[in-house]
Amino acid sequence: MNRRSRLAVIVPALALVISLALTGCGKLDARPGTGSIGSTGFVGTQGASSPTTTAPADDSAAIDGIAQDLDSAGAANTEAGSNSAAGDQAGAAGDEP
Amino acid sequence: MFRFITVAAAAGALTLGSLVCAAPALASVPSDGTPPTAHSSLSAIQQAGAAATAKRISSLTTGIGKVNATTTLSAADKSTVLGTLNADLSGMQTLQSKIAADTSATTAWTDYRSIFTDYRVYAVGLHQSYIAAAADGLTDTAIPKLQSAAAKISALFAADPSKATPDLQAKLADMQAKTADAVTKTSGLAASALAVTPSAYNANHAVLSDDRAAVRAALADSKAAAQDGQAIVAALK
Repeated sequence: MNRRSRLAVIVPALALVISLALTGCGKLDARPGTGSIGSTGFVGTQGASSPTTTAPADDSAAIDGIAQDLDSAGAANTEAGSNSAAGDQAGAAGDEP
Repeated sequence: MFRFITVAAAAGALTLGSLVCAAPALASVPSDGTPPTAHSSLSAIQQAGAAATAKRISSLTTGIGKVNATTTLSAADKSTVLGTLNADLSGMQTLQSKIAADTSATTAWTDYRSIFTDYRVYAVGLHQSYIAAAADGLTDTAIPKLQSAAAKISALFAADPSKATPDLQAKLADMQAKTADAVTKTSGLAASALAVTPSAYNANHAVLSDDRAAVRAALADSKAAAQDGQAIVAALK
């Protein structure tokens, strides 16, 4: 195969590869943005925006929020416990007839 | 008389965490020395009166400062407590001067007795302030945070049922039940405690017992609910 013959094969092949990459693995215009180049979604997933695939990040934020609430509750419980104990001591002081 | 106007007495002496620090001093009453009697000499009664009023003035002054600095008491309860504390402080200062100037043992004895029966700085004032501070801390902060956490956990389980294992569901249910119990037990608790007066205590020395028991039970519920929540979070991570 001479140089001209090789080019005749390589050029169309390159064009096909680029086309596939930019349009999403062969799905021309099927779902722009879900291809493997420049995509912000998950590669190879038709339902890139489904809860199943985004859950990990969402769960992490939710769990952090829960933990913060519980930390606040714990601090308030500790302070309430201190006050309750102090009240017991005051009431038991017994210095008043 | 202003005694009756003020809800409780020296409540203040403390407040929050502060209350805690003041408590030990309250318990160490021996500095009052041997209690005088109606038959004691004028000087003996004056000496005991000076010690008793000085001790209370110190506790009240410390308590007022702590109440002013606390964020646990609600604004309304803080106002009530400060009103009581300042009135008690003024009363103690007045009695301190009066007892020192008394010229008869009979009058001094009456004034000395007034330190206790008309004010009840420790048995009522401080005690009710601690209870109110604890109750407000649970009502205004701990319980709302527990309710918020439970709601978020429920939403998480609803979004992904696979996370809602039987064990975690049971913990969430217990968390919600304990929180609900705490809500019930703290309902009106601070107001109830702050409504107790020295005269009520004179008639019934156990007048604060129910409120005291309620705040302890509510605190136990709140702690248990928080533990449930922590266990759930640990399992989800």
